[in-house]
Amino acid sequence: MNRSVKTAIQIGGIIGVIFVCAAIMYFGLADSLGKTYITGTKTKIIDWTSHYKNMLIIVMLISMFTSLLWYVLSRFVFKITSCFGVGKRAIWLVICVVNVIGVLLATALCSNDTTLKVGFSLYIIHVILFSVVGYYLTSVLFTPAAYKYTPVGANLIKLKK
Amino acid sequence: MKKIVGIAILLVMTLVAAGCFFDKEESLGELPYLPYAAMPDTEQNKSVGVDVYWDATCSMQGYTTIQQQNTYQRLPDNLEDIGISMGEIHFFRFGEEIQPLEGREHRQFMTPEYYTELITPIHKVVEQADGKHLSVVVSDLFESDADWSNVAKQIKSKYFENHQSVAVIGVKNPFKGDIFDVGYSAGGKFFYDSGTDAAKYRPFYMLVMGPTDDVRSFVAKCKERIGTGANVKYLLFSEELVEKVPDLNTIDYSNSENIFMDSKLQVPDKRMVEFGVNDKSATVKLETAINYKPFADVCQIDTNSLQPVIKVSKLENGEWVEETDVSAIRTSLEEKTDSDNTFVYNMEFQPNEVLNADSVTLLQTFIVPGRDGLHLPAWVQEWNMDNQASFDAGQFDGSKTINLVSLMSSLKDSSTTIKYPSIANIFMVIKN
Repeated sequence: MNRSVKTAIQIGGIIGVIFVCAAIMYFGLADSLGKTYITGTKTKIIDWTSHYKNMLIIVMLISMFTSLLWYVLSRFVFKITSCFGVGKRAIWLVICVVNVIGVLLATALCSNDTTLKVGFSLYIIHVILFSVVGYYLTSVLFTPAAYKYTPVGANLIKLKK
Repeated sequence: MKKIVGIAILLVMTLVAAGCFFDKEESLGELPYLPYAAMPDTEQNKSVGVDVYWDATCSMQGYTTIQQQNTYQRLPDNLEDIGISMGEIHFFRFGEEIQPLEGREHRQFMTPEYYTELITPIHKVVEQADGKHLSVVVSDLFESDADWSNVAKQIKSKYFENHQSVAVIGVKNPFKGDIFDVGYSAGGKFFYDSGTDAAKYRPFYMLVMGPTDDVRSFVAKCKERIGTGANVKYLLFSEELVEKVPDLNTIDYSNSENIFMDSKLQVPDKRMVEFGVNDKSATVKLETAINYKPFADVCQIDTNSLQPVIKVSKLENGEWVEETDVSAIRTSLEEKTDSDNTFVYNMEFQPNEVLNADSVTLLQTFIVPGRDGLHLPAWVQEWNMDNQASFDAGQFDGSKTINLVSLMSSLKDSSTTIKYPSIANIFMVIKN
């Protein structure tokens, strides 16, 4: 398999994993969560779900952007100039923090809509799906070989294969 | 490892995609209308047919003879004006027979000579009145108990049973003339002259019957033209005891548990709100804060007597079938002491005790005044004269109306026993 195909598969994998997380959220969890959140309000579940879809798209795009940013940096930008690879993990961590803040901020700002009443549990679920799985796991699985141990804990997961 | 991850991703994507094609639930079509509640009037600015039935008996002559401060003399023109503003108007004179009037003949009610009839069969007027029109009867309501019980029975079946309303507008007017059927001497007639002393003016009444919105509109227009005050009184008998009856679209139920608003069903009436149940094994709690604005012209509501009346119906073969046993539903109603005209109503039930599987259930709650929970306003007693006075000219007071309390009580009781006059309606429909 040549590098271009491998690159395409990795990018496709990152997008696919995050997209599946969004799909799980929308088709699997949104309905039951929404029903809990709208209890006592005059919002119908169908309206809540419709507004939630917009929030979900934004959160998904933030996760995709940060994950692809790390991939692009590690695949095309970073150069190995020393055996230590100093500073790459710090960059990974910064992007991780940006991802988490972005996901939380997007959730908070979108839920200012009176139709979209949400609970604390939604913030937790978004972080798990779009930061832990969407950013961390995709960076562990799809980071190019030169930096495959840069994500924190990646060496433990890789070595277990 | 990567192959396993790849396969897992494909599997999940396949499942997710398959989930998009789950069979949709079969549509039930539009639900039938609410039982126990009037259908909403959706026609805006509709033209109303107003029929005025004028008592042409000799006892009414006296209202036309004194010119000063005479509301009665201006009534034909005022009523014509109101009728035209609402749609169209027709006048009738009644006595032995009910005769339609043409053109501007109704203006002859301003002249004493036009009053030639001898009996006042209001029951015939009510019987003939068109239920789809607004009917106005102008009379002094000089009726015996026996005559009025017949009238009340007809009003009950024609109007209250069809969720319509009746208003009584009482106007004290200068009077000089004979009042017939009083006492046993002098041919049973009594001469009364109020002069221009407002305290002695004699009341006449307009009995306004028809669809609630039309009755309220007529009353509002009357207030603009005839006014309000010590000598003009309004009393409305209706299912709607408040300005706008609160329902689940306006009532606060933010402290409720285990229910959410849904939209799977086609509801024919926006007062009917669809809910779903989150957890069918947990208790459903609906806690509502009801704030109502009492309508100025209805009987005074005794708030201590307010109680919830619950009706549960199941949808069977396209119709609502009432469930007689509602013991599984627990309710409470308490007045909030820190807020005027505000009540907290709670309803709780276990879904498996009230909702059948694969069924649609309608829960209607009416917050109603209990037995004797409505009181006639003070002016009814002030304008009342006991029946005994009609047989004794020495006791007869021309500024009062014989049996007025009895007449109004009869209307009040009829309006409360037939349907559910309420200060709030809570209509929930749940598809299980």
